[in-house]
Amino acid sequence: MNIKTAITITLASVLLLTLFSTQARAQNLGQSAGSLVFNVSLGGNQTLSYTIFDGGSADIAYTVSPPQYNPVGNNINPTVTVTPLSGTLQPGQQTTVLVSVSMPATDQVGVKWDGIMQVLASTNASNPGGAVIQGGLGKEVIIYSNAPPPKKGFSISSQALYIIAGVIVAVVVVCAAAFALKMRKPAARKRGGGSDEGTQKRIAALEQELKSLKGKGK
Amino acid sequence: MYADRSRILGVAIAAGIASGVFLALLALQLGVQVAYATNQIAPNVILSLTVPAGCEISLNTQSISFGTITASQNSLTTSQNVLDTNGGNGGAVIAVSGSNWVSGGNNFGVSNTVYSSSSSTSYASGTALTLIPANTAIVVGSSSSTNVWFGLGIPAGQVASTYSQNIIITNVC
Repeated sequence: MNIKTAITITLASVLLLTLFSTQARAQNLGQSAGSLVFNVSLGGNQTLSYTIFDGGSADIAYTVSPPQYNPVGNNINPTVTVTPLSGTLQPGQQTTVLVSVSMPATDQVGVKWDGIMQVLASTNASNPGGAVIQGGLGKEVIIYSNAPPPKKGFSISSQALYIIAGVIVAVVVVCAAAFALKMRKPAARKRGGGSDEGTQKRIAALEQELKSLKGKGK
Repeated sequence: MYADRSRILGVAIAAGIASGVFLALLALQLGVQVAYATNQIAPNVILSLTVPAGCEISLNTQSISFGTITASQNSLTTSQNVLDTNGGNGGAVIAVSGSNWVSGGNNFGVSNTVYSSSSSTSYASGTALTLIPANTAIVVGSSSSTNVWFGLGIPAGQVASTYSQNIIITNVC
């Protein structure tokens, strides 16, 4: 074997080794589909989860970047915490990512935040004079602020509200009936007594007319 | 007396299987030594398996280079590509973000990098890269691949140096 043949074989081996290494490093990071939609009461918190997995043939070290939200006027952005923040998945392995949202108590109701959370495959690549490309998965995280629930101890069930409303209606009806009855009696007394001045004058006029008729009859 | 015996079953889901609920009937084959009661229900087990929809990501490269570009010039078109492969059973939308270009104490903004779904997009028509992940509206379907093309412009007066940047490509689903 001469030197030229040896160099050729060595270069071919390096090329094959490089190709094999490239194939062996193939990473395929996956996740379950669907946005995470939070409806969080003011001062409250909520936790949702989803699954990430390694669908390739090599280990995948990953890091998690929580979603970034642009500020909403007069509101404090909710706090988002993610568990785990990093880890390593083996081929075929999956893990659950927990996302928790805490809503400030002083925020307004009906505010929406929308951002993308990232699970990125770790890389130690460097590329002076160019860009390093890092791949990963994005999960849309949408957060709505809701009204806080009624305070405990003062909560009234809808059934109790119906009973209270019924009692109030009954009391009003009874009072109205009593009032109407009371108003009816003086009116009746007025009609039967004939004590007003107009009636007296009319009676006097009728008596006078009766007298004149009697006089004519004589 | 017959001893109770249990068996743990495992299921492997092949890549690219469509999402949905799958059912299977597992018929147990019993040995001759097993005694039946006359009213015994046939020892069959219905297996239920739910395969959720999901997306995956695999990129063909970990770096791109724009060569040498002088100050106030640009790459003319979105000339550098990254092939994004989604091996999952559900589609995804590509989101991109990046960092500022840095070289020691010198730097220039992330937005000087632009992207497009086409290689023929002029630099001026490309969409500027941002620090926060942005939805590109570029769809990569299930079990398919899509290119994202990048271009670069150098601000006028930028100090000559060898700059580098990080670009993040994610499949959102």
